[in-house]
Amino acid sequence: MLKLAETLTEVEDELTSIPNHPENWRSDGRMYPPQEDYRFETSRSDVVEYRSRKHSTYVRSNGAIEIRKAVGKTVEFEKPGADGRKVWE
Amino acid sequence: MLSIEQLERILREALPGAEFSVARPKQPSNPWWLDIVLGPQTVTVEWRPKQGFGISSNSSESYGEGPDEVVEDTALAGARIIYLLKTGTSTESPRDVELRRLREEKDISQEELARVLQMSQPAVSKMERRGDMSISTLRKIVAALGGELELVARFPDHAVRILHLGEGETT
Repeated sequence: MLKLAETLTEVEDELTSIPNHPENWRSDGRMYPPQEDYRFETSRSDVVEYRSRKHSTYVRSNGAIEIRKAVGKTVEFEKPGADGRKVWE
Repeated sequence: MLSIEQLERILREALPGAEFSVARPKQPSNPWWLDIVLGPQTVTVEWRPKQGFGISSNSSESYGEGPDEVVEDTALAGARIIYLLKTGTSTESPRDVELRRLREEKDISQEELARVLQMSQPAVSKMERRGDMSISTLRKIVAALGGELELVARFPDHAVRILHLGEGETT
């Protein structure tokens, strides 16, 4: 999760001049990584969900990541974990 | 009943054809999420206890953005969401606007605004040209135009909303 947050922050630092202020609630046009208070439990103890405005990000304890649209649940991005297994495998 | 539950009830009564999805946090102080789908239109509501409702339509699918609009009052939030869903209107982040332009966009004349504010039309005209006014007066004008005033102080490392300022008598 920390790696994902670092990567997203670095990408935004590179691509936008909007200051990094994750404490701002209202949109400032910048992309922010999932915040800790947006964490939800899932049906599996090794997978947590981070909700954001339009997406749900699922992170498994093996490091696997899956990003779905919050409405419709279409998968937009997935990356296997260190053991090669995806979030729900 | 929590404000988000009140809002959901309002919306379910007003939008019988809509689909609702609620995400309840384990920690009561953490944000709740309410997604409402009506036909092709989606509105997402993020509710933070004591802070109000963050409202976004499907105007932007960007990852990790905050809400476009923030509304404190439950009834006002409900009215806004119903309007967005029924008209297919998109939310938008706040933009810069002068008071006179804002009034004109709301299709309210100076005479009408003066009547609501219990002042004369020339006083409204003068007020719109001023570079300064009391917060309580500005709050009343915004309310008369159908909105609510929010005061945010930004610091290098955080932002805070300032409460209870300009809610008394005009000074």
